[in-house]
Amino acid sequence: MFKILKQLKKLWWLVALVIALVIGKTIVDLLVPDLTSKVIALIPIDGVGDKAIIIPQMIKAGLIALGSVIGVLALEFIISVVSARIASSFEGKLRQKLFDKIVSLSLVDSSNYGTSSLITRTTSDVQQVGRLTAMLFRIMLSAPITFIGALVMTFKVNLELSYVLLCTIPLLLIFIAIIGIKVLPLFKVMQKQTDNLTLVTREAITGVRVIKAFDNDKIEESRFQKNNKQITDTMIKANTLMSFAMPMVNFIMSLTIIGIIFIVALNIKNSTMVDPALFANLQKVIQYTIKVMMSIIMMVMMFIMIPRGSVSANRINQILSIEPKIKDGDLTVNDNSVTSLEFNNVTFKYEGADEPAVSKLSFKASSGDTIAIIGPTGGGKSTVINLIERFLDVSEGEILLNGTNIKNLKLDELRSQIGYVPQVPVIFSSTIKDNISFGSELSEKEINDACDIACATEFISKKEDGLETILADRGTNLSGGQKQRVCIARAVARKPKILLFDDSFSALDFATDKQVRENLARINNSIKIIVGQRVNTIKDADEIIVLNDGKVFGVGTHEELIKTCEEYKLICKSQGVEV
Amino acid sequence: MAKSNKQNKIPSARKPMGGHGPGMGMHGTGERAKNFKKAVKDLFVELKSVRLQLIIAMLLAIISAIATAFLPKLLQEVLGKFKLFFFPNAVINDVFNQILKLLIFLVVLYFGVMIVRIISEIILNKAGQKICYNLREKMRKKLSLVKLKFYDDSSSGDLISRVITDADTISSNLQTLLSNTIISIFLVVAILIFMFTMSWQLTLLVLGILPISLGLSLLVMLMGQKHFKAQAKGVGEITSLCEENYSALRVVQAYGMQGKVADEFNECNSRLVKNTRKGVIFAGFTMPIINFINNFSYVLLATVGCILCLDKIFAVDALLIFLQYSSNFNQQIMQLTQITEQVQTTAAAFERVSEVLNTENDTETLEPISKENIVGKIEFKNVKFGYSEDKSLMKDVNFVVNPGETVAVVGKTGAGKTTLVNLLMRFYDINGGSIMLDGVDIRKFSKSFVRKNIGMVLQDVWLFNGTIAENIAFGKPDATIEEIEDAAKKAECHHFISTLPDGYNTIIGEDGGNISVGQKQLLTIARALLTNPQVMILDEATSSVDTKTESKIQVAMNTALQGRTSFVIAHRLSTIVNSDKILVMENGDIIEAGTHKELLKKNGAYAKLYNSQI
Repeated sequence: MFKILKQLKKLWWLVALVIALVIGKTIVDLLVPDLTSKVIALIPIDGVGDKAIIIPQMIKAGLIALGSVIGVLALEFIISVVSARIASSFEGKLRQKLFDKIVSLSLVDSSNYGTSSLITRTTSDVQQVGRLTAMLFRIMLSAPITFIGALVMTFKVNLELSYVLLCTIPLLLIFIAIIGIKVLPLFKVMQKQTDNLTLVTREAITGVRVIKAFDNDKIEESRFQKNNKQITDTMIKANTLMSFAMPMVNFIMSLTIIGIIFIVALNIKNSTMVDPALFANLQKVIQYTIKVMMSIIMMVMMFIMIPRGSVSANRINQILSIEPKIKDGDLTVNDNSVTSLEFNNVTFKYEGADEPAVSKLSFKASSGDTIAIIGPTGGGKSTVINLIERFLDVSEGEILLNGTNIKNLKLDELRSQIGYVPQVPVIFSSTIKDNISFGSELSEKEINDACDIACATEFISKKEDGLETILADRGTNLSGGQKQRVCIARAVARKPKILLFDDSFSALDFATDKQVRENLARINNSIKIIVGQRVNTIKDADEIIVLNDGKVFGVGTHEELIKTCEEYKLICKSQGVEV
Repeated sequence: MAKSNKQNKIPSARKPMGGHGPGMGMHGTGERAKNFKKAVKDLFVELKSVRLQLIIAMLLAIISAIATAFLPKLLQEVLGKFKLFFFPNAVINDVFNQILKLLIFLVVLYFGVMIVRIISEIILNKAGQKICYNLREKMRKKLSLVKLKFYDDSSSGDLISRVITDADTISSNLQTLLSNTIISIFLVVAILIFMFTMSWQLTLLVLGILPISLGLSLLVMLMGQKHFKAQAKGVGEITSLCEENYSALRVVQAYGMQGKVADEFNECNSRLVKNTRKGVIFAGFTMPIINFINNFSYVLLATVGCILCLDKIFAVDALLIFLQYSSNFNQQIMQLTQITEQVQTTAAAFERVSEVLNTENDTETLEPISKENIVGKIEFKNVKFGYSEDKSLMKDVNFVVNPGETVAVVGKTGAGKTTLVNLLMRFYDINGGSIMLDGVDIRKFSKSFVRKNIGMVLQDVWLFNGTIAENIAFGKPDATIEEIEDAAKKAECHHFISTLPDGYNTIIGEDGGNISVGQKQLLTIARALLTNPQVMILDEATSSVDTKTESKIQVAMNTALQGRTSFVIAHRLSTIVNSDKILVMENGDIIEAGTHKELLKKNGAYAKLYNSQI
């Protein structure tokens, strides 16, 4: 938690201001009961006095007390404004920092954490920390000052009366500790059980077709019921314990006041002297006692809040402290001269894996070449694509662009040479046009040409708004094949020197697949790398690489491979392609 | 990426609210109920199940309210006794004993109030949890009964938040509402009576301050609310921005868009920061204002009260007690002002829950007929269907499948292949014509009968959080491990399962990160094979499986499905050339039907499709 507060450095003068203000406010606040009791103290205990003298005195004392009350309010307002500024800027800065960090995370790191966890970290964790920071300034600072100040004031009024406090404060603390020890673990369990209930609910919703197809509604309902019952039981347990809290705190507070009255009575009994300011003092002590008790409750609340905030803070720090695994290079890429891409004995192994995902892969491609990679699922095909994009870095060997190791190139310049079409189509909730131009300045013609190449023109023109059609989150208003075509158009629109297709034709029907490939074949100044499952998709490539279990089983053209490569022949046969 | 048109997005049922999650402390900033009266009325109906508890809790709350109001009065009596000390001929010991007795009585009374409060809170807590439990159960049961179209039209995140968060909001708000409101109302009335009996002048003063304090706190509340709403909206925006960019991380990086999306985020973030700041400022104002009102009236009452004391209208001890009453009074009033807000939030949450509960049920066959053995003859007769009333997809679909035949359905994406099998499963009801199973309209069978007899492997993979064995046995929970392994062997997944460290006991979860998409597809095939149905539907069941494995599965499947009717939907035509019948679909209708050879000879759409693949 405190590590993250370092981010507050730039706001230090605001922080200093707020600390000063809070201290000032707390002190004025402590004076209020003292000032009001001065009014009451003016009443003669026997009720006899000169009104003409006493009333103006009273009004004067009353006005002073009122002034202090207004002072507190004014200070509180200023504190509110300043601390809100600190908390919100802090939150905003933290969120931006986190977002910037996450969008540049390497593939391995981001998939380690998972999208949904990264989202919660950027949103609710940051919010939690921000809220806690705002509280820290207001309560954490003022509660201890109030506690000590109020205690000192009671001692000052009457030492004996404050003994009562010394007895009941530990009582309160012990009682809070008992409830805390019992309840906190239950809250943890509850969090876990909420996750479980959410999980079964999500499964019931996303899997509705399967559940219905297997006629398993009843079983799924009982799974839900079991989880629902668990969380309800825990909630009842926790809340039952919490039901004791407020009534008991109230009781202890009342007990303190009764105790004080008892001591006063005892004092009077044992001495003949009666303090003339008895009632005024009694009122003052009771007020301060309430302040002491309230500040204890506030502090306890802080102690509950801090660990909860710390969990969030740790989750944020975890991301911020990730060392980038992919290091940026410093050589620039000459735009017009990208003519060759070479794999030189490339091996890649995931951390902790026994077997490499790709081993000893070598090939060379020049402008206009099409290289295809085929092989079974999990064979290492997508890894090759990820290595070219430097989503992953090679473990051994090197990848050369125009003879330069891509590790030495500036990352953004390397990537700007590449048009990438992912395996699962990625669609942004924006217009089709925006999805295709995706940050580049493209003319209408360039976009239309790209759509033509991707065979997307037809279905786009059928839409009422054409290119301006707004796509829903994750493109739910497009079919799988249409999404893929938008992604292909996006990649070719910027006329990159290298085009990467990661099994990007799988959702296209065969006729469209064929048409797209023919269109792509006409682009002759790019290197095209195609990962595919279908022999038809890749058989016209200049070079086909057969990958299985990360190993190269064959390299050559379709005609060569059907003669030499058993593995390839099997694939062809299974797809009904004549060998 | 321009987001200016964000609001024009496809209308999903209702977006999940940003910052509505548990533990985010955003209650009270939620949306308002659209039909407030109806929501409150329905809520009361829901409360009937805990009527008894509520009545008891209410009675207890009344008792404790009255006792609480009475306590300061007793305290005054104690203070009154103190004055006896000053009487010249007072017997100090007597007075002391009187005081002692009163104090002991007070302790007992305070203790009693505590016990009553604890009991009433426990009862209310149980009642609240029971309501939450019931609402969740009802919603879950409803989810089994609604039409599939309901799922198509709603976002899963939104549904989940209704089942989890909204139900929780209702129960926890109800608890505080019921206990606080009852106690507050009774306390306010009781305190007011006591105050009047003590001094009508001072009571009028208290009531005079009331409009000021109410006005102030309402003002702050209303001003803050605007910003809270803007804040909640901002959080929602940020969340969807994160979701979009984080899940598209690779594309964002490949296209060098980190800077651009960060700028976009920055813009959104600055807006949120501004709204958060305003919201936090107003939230920060609430406490000081309540504090101020308390202090202000205290000082005012003390001063005026003291002047009254000098006039002998009022005694000092009574003044002290009066001050206590007035601060308690203010406290209760403040609490009551918060109640409107809570009622609104509760009503809004309950409305979202009722929306689910009031969704129309899917039609179920009354008095369904049942058959011992299904042979597997299927017939579509003039079937008409559209996902929405105004858009018809299928105009007139006719075909017959004889028992034991394998039928392939081919066509472009969006041609209606999946729809065809969905209709057979009775996932959707047709708008015209009829679908016959063994010569009987499937609407005469119960849905579960139809589904029990038709096995299906769906296009998208769904596995639940559990072991591999449990997932395979999904359709037959009492399957033995031998049966499970046998099905896995047929689906070509026994081998990879055996290589996993935990084998069949490997837990696969939501993300199922440890196995690939192709492997998941194999598991779903095993799952369907285990149930051993008379009719089997394979909807792109092997699209992510490599072709070598696919052909192995086919061999296994051919033996497993011998004598059974099966529907196969596939892109790769090579896998279906041996089918007994091929249906070619376009724009929802069947345009060609026949065997591979017949269709090739016809030289129509199928021939064109087939030739493009060779």
